[in-house]
Amino acid sequence: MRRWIRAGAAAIAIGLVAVACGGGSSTPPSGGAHGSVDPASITGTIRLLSYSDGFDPGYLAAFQQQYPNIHLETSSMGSNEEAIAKIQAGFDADVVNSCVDEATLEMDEKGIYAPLDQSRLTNWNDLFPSMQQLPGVQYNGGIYMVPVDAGTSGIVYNADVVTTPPTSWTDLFNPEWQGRAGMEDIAVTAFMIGALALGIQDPINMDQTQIDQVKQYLIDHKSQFRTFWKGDAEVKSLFKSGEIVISSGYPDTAKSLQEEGVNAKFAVAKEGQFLWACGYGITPNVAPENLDAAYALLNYYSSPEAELYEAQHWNYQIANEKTLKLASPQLIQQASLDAPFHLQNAIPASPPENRDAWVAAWTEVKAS
Amino acid sequence: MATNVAERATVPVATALPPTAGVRFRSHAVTWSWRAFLFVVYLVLFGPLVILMLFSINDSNVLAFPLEGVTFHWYTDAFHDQLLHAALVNSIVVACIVAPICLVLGTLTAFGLTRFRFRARPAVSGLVGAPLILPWLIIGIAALMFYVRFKVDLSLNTVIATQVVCTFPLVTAIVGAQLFRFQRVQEEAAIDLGCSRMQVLRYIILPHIAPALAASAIFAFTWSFNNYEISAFTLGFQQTFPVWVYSSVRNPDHTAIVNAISTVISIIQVGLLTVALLFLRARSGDDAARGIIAGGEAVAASAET
Repeated sequence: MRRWIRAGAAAIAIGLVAVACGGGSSTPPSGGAHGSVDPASITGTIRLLSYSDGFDPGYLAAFQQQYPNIHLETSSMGSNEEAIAKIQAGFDADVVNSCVDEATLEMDEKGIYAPLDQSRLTNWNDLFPSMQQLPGVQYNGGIYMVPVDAGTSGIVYNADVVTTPPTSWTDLFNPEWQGRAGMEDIAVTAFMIGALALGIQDPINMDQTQIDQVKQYLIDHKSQFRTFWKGDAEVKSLFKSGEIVISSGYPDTAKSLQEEGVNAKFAVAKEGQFLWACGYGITPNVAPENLDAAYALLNYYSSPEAELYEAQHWNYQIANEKTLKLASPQLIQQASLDAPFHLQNAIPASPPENRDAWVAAWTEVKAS
Repeated sequence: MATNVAERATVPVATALPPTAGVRFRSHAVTWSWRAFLFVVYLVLFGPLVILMLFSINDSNVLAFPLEGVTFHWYTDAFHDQLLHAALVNSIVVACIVAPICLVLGTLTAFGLTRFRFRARPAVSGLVGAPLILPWLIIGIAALMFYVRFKVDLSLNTVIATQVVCTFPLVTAIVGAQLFRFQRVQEEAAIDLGCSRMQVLRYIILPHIAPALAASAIFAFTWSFNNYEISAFTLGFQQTFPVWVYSSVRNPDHTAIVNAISTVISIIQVGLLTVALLFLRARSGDDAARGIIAGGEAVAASAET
């Protein structure tokens, strides 16, 4: 899942809520029967706070068929920041969706997630080890979030115009594409790209001097970019209308554009590709009588069948290795389902510790 | 004074002369400048709506020209989307409750603030006006914390309560402006002629503020229907239409569905407004219709003349 939408005021909201409410409780969920055999015997009401695809009717149809006595109440979020603001202001949810590159670690630290009982996570041992090790999935020796889906970002280009396939983030700054390049309007993404193009080896841990260096580099090259896009729909429109010919983007962006008749290709930058990964955790507020249902939902999300649905419908990469047995070779190739085997080139876009400085610098770049 | 008399005397002569080429040119230039200005205004106002409608029938979920062909399957998808249906129903229910409550509360407040002089009047005015200048996001979060503190379950009820607090000051502002211009001498004349207070209200005051009330009702409904910030924070595990739109634009297919359903809603809104204006014009004349658009100002102005 991705952060298509960034509510600018979310940062203010988080600050306000943090001041007003402080941190949340961190009581771990406990109780409830382990591993009920008959799904129909599991009852309860689950309050799910998730991106809207987390409760897509088609995605959850099998769950509701399998667990007819679990009642699901859903609420959508626009971003992880918004979810944190709501929860810290007092919004009660049992299962919360988060993305590693957005706020999973923050949710661990703020007590929004409670540690999970590994013995009740039926698919945990089938998850790619690389997914299990993502920042925030495990914290202080416990499991806090079950990773479900993932993807990488690299360079999308129009092969009819950009005839030499790009191999580096520096290609985004090639003067030949001045005014015809695009970049996603996310502070962390933009500064990672700028840092890697400048040759900074460890962009996540940039100090203030390096941040200023990247900021100046992006300001100097601002005319390179037609726009900083905010969502999949926008970047696809820009490519199709010919306004941009090269941009940061995702494999499924290129695939969707191909279906639209644009000769778009996806390329991996040699400096590294950014990884996004999302999953679900349980909050400390879940009522004991609903705990079985909460684990059932987590186990459903991480099941090969549910992950196959994600790969087929949304081109997402998967976390459960067993999904490869269900997927066709064509789907494995198309959605890069085996990618987690070789994630060593991927940089988990976990928010940096000095994220505020990144966001402030990115604001300056856009205002320049 | 002598000069003025002389000027007046020359006026008929001057108007009788054919305009010079320069005057004609300036007159045409002004006319065409206004037309160009109006064209730009209409383009900015309705251009996005036209684009929205065009892409709602485009056989592609990519918002870019050239169009791929004509299709209505985004409309079909919209009509079959259960989450969208629930969100729309919720928004309509909320707006249908919020608008009348705000109309009553806002009008009573406007009467109180314009008719009575009391010590706390400036403070009350400021308090009533505060929601109009406070960001809704802040109000939404504050309301959420309030409800949680007092253990009020989040639901459509909490959305309605918070929206009422934020919307009725708008009604107060519109109706208050109309009442402020109202000439009390008409009331006094009616009472002198034997009308009761209720008759004054029914036959003198209400007809005078009716366009402002109609405008307020439309604005209150629209504010409520379109509200995202307050709904997002005070809603429980339900969705309103703006919340559904905001959370679903991540999905490219939903962008096209949003275009389709937004087109339908826009057509319905414009249709209802047109019917209402035509109805009002047929019953009360052009001034009343203009009064709705201008929030009652046109009627007030015409009353003064």
